[in-house]
Amino acid sequence: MVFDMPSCGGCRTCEMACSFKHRGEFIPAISSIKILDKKDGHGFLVFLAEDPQKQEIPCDGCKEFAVPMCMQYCRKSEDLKGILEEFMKQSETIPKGKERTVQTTEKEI
Amino acid sequence: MSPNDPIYAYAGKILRVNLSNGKISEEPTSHYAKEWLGASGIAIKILYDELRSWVTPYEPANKLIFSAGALLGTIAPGACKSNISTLGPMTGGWASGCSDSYVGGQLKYAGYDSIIIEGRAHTPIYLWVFNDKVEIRDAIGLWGKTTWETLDGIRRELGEETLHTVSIGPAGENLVRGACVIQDKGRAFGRCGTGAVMGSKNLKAIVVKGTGPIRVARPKAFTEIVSKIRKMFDGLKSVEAMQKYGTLRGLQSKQKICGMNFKNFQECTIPEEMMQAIDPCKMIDKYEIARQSFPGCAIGCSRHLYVTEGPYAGLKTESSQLEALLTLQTRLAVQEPTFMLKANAYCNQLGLDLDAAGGAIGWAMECYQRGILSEKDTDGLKLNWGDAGVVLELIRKISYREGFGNILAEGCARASDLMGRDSSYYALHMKGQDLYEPCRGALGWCLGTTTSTRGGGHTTGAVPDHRVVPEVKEKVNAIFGVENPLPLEYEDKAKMVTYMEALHMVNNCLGICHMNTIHGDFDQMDLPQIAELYSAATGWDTSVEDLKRLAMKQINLEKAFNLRHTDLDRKDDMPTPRDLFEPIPKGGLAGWKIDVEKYNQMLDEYYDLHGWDKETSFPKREILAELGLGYVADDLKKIGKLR
Repeated sequence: MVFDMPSCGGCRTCEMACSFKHRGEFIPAISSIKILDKKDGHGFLVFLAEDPQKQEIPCDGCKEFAVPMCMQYCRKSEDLKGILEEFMKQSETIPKGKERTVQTTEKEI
Repeated sequence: MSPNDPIYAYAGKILRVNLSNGKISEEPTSHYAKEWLGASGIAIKILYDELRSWVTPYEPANKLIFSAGALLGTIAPGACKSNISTLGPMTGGWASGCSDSYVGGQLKYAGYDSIIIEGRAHTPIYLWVFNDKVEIRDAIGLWGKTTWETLDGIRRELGEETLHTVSIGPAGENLVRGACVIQDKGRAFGRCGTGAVMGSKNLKAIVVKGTGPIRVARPKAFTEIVSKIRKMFDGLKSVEAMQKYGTLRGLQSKQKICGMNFKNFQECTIPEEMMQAIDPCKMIDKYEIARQSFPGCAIGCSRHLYVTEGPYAGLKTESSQLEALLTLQTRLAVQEPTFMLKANAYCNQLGLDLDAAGGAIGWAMECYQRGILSEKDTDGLKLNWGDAGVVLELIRKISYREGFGNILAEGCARASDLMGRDSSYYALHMKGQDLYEPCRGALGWCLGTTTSTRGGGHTTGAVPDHRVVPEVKEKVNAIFGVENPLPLEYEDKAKMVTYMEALHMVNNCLGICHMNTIHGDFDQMDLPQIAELYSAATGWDTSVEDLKRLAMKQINLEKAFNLRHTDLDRKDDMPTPRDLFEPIPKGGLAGWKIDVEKYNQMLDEYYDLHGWDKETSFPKREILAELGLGYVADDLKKIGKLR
């Protein structure tokens, strides 16, 4: 599932933190969260994995922690929190396999 | 340690690629890591051991080492710096530059801490590393392209839009002495001419992708110390300002302490009307389209801009930092506010170091002002201060070594030697490398700059003097263990520089951005927190004193490397004649000038703290032996440079 995060600076520390939670080592290749470049416009896209078939481990929302790992290392954690909540909500309500599209807010330039 | 022992934080392997014969091999990082920390530390050990004294920068026998800092690939705050080190064409000695980088982290995830590039490819190539698959690929189609085109071309060729590169532009290909290496499109391994060495090897780019892990020895302790350090940044006013404007936030305080460069250092402040006209903060707010930050950074100090008006409308680029403003815009007295962005982007595209451009063009413009140069020398160009079009044309001519640009491509020191006509006074350089740092009125900043083994630069010992104001005196005293920290006090500056040298060197080895440390704000992380981080990451209990010893060991080896390859000595650790003899002409410190006798005493104290001879600056056997560098003492004795 892909979300728009205009305030993201693309540091990708969240990817490292996420993989550390899952594996106890830093291996962004398997992280549930991925920061994707946008062609244009503010910020970055946030991908959250939900499909266990792929390389990434599905995002479980870090329910065992008071604050999810990715948010702990994000300078814009409030914005990321909104994305995680939306992800968890959609994961529970929309059947797997159904296409989800997320509106991005690309700046017209 | 044995190569079979587990190693933490480091990836564990060093890749060696010989471009002359295509041989690719690996060796364990453990051979170096414990005694040389990482990145530039490991690089100086390899270069010292493997380069014979007769090797010159552009020979195939020279080696270029690309490394990721030891903490890259982890969430350590600010751990995003990679390093390129070599024997450089600017000073003829130690050349080393760091840059924020995604490539460094990818290198670690691919399983390598460093890549040693040897030899020279017969035709242009680039290096593609995907985990343990290492491929030398043809780059004929990329030769002549800008760094921006190179990134796009490689992404297209390899079919991955998210790959990151370090590459050279035309300046590196044409062996411009000040050519640098650019990460993606906007981050430079600046100074020292590492791009020219890459060009001499016919190496257009290095591309790395890794999908493996980096492990730390004590995971719980490591995340705890990371969290503790990140909390130090919460609520700091400087962090808020950095997030908005990066190092441009320091502009007003630089103007206040006369730390500006106007018309090639003729003045140390800029006129008030120019300050109003070029105010970069207004401009950045207006043109921002996105933020930019690098892995692990606890701040996030950059932005992507889209210029929508003026002579450079249509330019999309990452915002510049303060250095671009001072070294090009104010040094050359250009009034157009967006010029800083254009010149910075143009230099990055062509792979030309900003300071090498500003130094050479500043020298030429001052010579033109004084009638030393005329249109007959400059291919008909009128080198008037403030002419943005002429500056951009000179940047192009330098990068392609075209006409008058061929002389400027040598850097201001050599250009003035070539031109003669008593023009050398106006060539502001350290050890042959063009100078960026305004040195008058900031003694800690000045001493750190002038003694730097790489030839100037403020990231190898310079004290951030513009922030040492009376209000923070007690805090600064506690950090450095001194009593006289203020910028105009000669006492204690040698001690402060020695401390900053250790911090900068450790940062450069571990890959920590200086702006996440006390270099950026005295309330941010410092050596004690870094020692905790490194200990938890590697499992090797390392104290602040251990880090200081390793830094001192490294600087002694850099010094010895310089002594083997150059004739640098004490005179080369002194400020430029302009800084040494001219008073500050205008501004809050008008009339202040360096007291030469006291400066020499300060330098004496610096040498004492390093165990070096005051007359020559050469190391003494005792300090080298104490640091485990007895073999270096033997080498220096053979060439008569041991005291």
